[in-house]
Parts: sequence; structure tokens; C-alpha cells
Amino acid sequence: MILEKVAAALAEKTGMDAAAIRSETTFQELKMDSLDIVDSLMALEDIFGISLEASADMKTVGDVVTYIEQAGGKA
Amino acid sequence: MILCATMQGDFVTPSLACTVQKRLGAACAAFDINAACSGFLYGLEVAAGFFARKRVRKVLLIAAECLSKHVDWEDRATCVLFGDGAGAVVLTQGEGLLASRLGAVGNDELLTIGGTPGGFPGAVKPTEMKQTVFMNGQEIYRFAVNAICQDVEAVLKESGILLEEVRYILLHQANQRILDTARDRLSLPEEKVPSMIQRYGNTSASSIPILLDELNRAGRLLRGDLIVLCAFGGGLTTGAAALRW
Repeated sequence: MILEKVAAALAEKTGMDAAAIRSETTFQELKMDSLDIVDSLMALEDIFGISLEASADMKTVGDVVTYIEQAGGKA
Repeated sequence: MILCATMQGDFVTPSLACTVQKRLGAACAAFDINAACSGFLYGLEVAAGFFARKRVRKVLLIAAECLSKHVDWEDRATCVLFGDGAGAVVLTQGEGLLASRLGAVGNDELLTIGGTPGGFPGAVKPTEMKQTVFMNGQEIYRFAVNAICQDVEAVLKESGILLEEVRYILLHQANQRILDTARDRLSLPEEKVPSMIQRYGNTSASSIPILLDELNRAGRLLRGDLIVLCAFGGGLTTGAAALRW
């Protein structure tokens, strides 16, 4: 469920089909730069009610899902 | 009074305000304030305080920055972002400042220009600070976008002005992405958020008064227009004001 919400948020940001965004999809494949990532994190903070810091370790959608789970985000 | 918003003038001392006073041949109090890119907004509020106490009749408020002194010219990603600039306004007693808001979140990690360590002979030297601009772009972007949205709404609420009544929202000209995102979140049309970044880069505290001057000279500011100014910068500082031009 977290992945689905993240995919939906990224789809809205990038204009891509949410169904095509998977855990292993990279931000590079989504053509997202560092500020696009921060924008998306800010939106995800509102969705999940948590705080998310951008990290150089965030390379894939799955990395963001992991951070959300660790920050206590609920599916 | 001459009040100069700058991080660093031509000298450590005299202040930039004092060097300007000498050039103008003026005789008045003169001092600098350092609120980085929020300096012009801080300066407006400082001036307002002097007017409120009836200590001054006119204030020359200058915002000036020579960022070319502070960038690493071998860092191609950063040095192209900044520019040198100066802007000034003459303020008199009046009712034009409708609302203002200043803020600071003390932080010495996300946006810094290092200072010079003490030079006492024989002293243990602390680790030297990076003498050129360092910025965590992602976190500053986040800080800026949030600050703009919060502060614009706050000064509108304080002044009782509706967003649709505002002629322009003049944002500190740091980065076009910040302007675009903030404009998007505030649901503003492009013409209400002017930009000159592509011509001058980020000129720190001087960006807003330079933008004001350009709009004024182009005849795009009419007496009575309601404008909102909003800035953010090193400190981390924030400032916003609602004015009747």
C-alpha cells in the first residue's frame, strides 16, 4: 500500500503511469532531479504525516518506501 | 539614517553604511545589518522601528552584496548561480508598510560562508571553515518553499489583504525552481511573480530592491498597488512584508 501511494505521488509529479512505477524504478529513469525528489518527499510527508529527509542513498522508489516504513508511515 | 543590509562590505570596519555616508557627504547614524538574503526585509522592519520611535525622518535603506567574493570559482555548479548587486530605497514616515514578519531558524550547516578563525599567536587553530558558499541545495529548497508559503499567507492575514488584490509577489531571486514551486503552491499566475534571475543570478539581499526598481522604471508599479515581498536566506532567515506602493 505504501508503494502504491508513493507510485501515485510520483506519477502525479512526473506524468508517468503509476502502474509502470515499481520498487526498483530509479529516479533517473523517472527523469527526476534532486529538487523533483525533494518536492515529492514534501508531498509524501503530507500524505503519510511523517518527516522525510532527502538522502543521497535514495536512488529508487523502493528506497523511499523503506524510509517511509522506518519513519512510521502507515500503509 | 543610513542602514545597509550586507553580509560583508568593502571593509570589516568601517561598515558599508559608513562608507556610503562618507561618499554622500551625509551626517547621520549609519550601520550595517547582516540577515543574508533576507536583509532587505529585516532592514524595512528595523527602519519601521526607528520611525515608530520618531527617531528619524528619512532612512536610506540599501541592500548590497558582492557574492563574487564568496563563491568558489572552480566549482562550476555553484559559481554560476550568484551575482553582485545593490538596490536602495529612501523611506519616510507613512502608512505604506501594512504588515511584516521576520523569522530565523539558527543553522550553521545548511547554508554557510565561513569566517576567519582567530589569529592569536600560538593558539590552537580550530578547523578552518570553508571560506566560500556552501549550500545543501535540497534542504534549502525545502526551507525556502515552505517559508514563502507560510510567510506570504501570514502577512496577507495580518494586513487583511486578499491574495487576488495583490499586484505582485516579489520573491527573493534565488532560484527559478523555488519561484515556480512557490507560485504553483500559492496558485498564482506567472505575471504576478516576476523573475530576473536569468539576467542577474542570485544577488542576495539586493535582489528584491533591484526587482522593485526594474518594475518601477518599466511603469509596472502604480501608486496604491499592493505588493508582497518575501525573502529567505542564510541564518537561516526569513522575512516578508505587505506594502502599499
